[in-house]
Amino acid sequence: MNMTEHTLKQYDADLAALRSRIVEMAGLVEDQLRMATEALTQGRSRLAETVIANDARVNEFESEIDDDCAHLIARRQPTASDLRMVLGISKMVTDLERIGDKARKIARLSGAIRMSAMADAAWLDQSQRASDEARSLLRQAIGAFVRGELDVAVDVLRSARKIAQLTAATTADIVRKIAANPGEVAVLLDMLAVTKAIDRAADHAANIAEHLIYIVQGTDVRHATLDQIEREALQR
Amino acid sequence: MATKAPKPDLSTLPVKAEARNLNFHYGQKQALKAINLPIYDRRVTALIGPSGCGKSTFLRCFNRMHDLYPGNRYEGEIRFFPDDINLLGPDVDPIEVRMRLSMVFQKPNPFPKSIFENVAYGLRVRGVNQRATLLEKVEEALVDAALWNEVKDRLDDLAVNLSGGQQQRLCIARALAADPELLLFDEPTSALDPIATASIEELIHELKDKVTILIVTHNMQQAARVSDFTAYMYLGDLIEFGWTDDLFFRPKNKQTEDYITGRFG
Repeated sequence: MNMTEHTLKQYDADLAALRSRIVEMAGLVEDQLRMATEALTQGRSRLAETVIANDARVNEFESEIDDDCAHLIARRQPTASDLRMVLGISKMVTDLERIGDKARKIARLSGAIRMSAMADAAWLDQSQRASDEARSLLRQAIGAFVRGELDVAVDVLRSARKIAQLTAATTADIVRKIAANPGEVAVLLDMLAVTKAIDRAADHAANIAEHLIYIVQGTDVRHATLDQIEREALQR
Repeated sequence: MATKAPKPDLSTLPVKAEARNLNFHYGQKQALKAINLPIYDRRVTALIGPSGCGKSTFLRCFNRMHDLYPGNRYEGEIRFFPDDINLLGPDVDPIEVRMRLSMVFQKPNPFPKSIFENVAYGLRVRGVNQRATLLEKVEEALVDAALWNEVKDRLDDLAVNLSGGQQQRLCIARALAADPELLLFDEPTSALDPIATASIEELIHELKDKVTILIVTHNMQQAARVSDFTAYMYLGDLIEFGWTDDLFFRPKNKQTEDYITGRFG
């Protein structure tokens, strides 16, 4: 975001460090989701192990960035856009950590799912596409955060709704398979959990876009409709 | 679900005083430029801005302190309610004005008298000399200024022997004893330590149920803590005025944003 400098240069440095940390964490989380999905769709079990091992680093990022936010509030008493930035980052960090959790879940379930014939090419392909889409949303949301681009944030929210439709269709397929293959219910429930995890990852990317609108505009759009968001966030 | 009460509509709030197109000149130099600003009744309004922005000049217009020096010139009005008089009107006696407004200054300035006589001073000036009435009013003012418990057993001690924070609360008690309608604070805590500052801020919060308060402060966090409304001034102009929590969270003006976030300079 293009902001003029504070009189106190160390304050600028603190805020810049905070923003840079969140971008770094987002990069790690995006990578986690990519590796977890590849572990699933390409059967690369080593990647699944890496994702599970890396999750501790994601959690550390969450604690450290939250701690940085608390210290910045205590030391600098931020106001206005600075305050919204710190509050927004503190919320973003939670969403990123949750995406990390979803990646770990996918990695954890990938082995058992790969061994089942229920995980057919169509479902694996749908999962790969949904995951690619979720990661793309995350990248866009973080890019929009770095550049303060409200229109991109709204695009992210719009796209997240499309992923939700895709998830609904995939979920319906799995439910049909459960009805047809009662003996495979355990693995089908795991597949359902993976489908939902990818969908939730996209939701968390959308939340980051909402936090960006809050940071830039001071408007809370978490419970607004897309129409309201477009009207209120972009027209101001 | 807990729902935050909406802020009252400004048009429904009673106004205690209102600057209307107020200009002020120190000789040739214009220090206030067409200020329009309502001071809401029994609310705390903070004036913030960098040095030289005119906030103290504005405050001092209310009790006509500028009248004490030649060459100073007001234009415009400060309406004072409910009687709707112009505090700056040539027909209004500055002494009368000062009877209705009290001022507390940057540094505590107790008179070289006893604690009791400091608080009773304004009452005596108004002709109150009955011991019982004085005692009652002095106690009430000291209680309101949160000083009574600390001084009730030594009212005859010299005021200058009190600590800095106590002296400032004594000055507030002295101001309150005269039942002012508007209290003017000119950086009342800038000479105090953090604990004394906190007690004055707490006091300001409690006093606003009884009296309207206008405070000049260099400390933005103090403005954010104690006031209901904040006005940001710069080079004699009023840049922005609004509810304090709005102004400190989502200022409308870029200059306000730069100042309160420390990007000014």
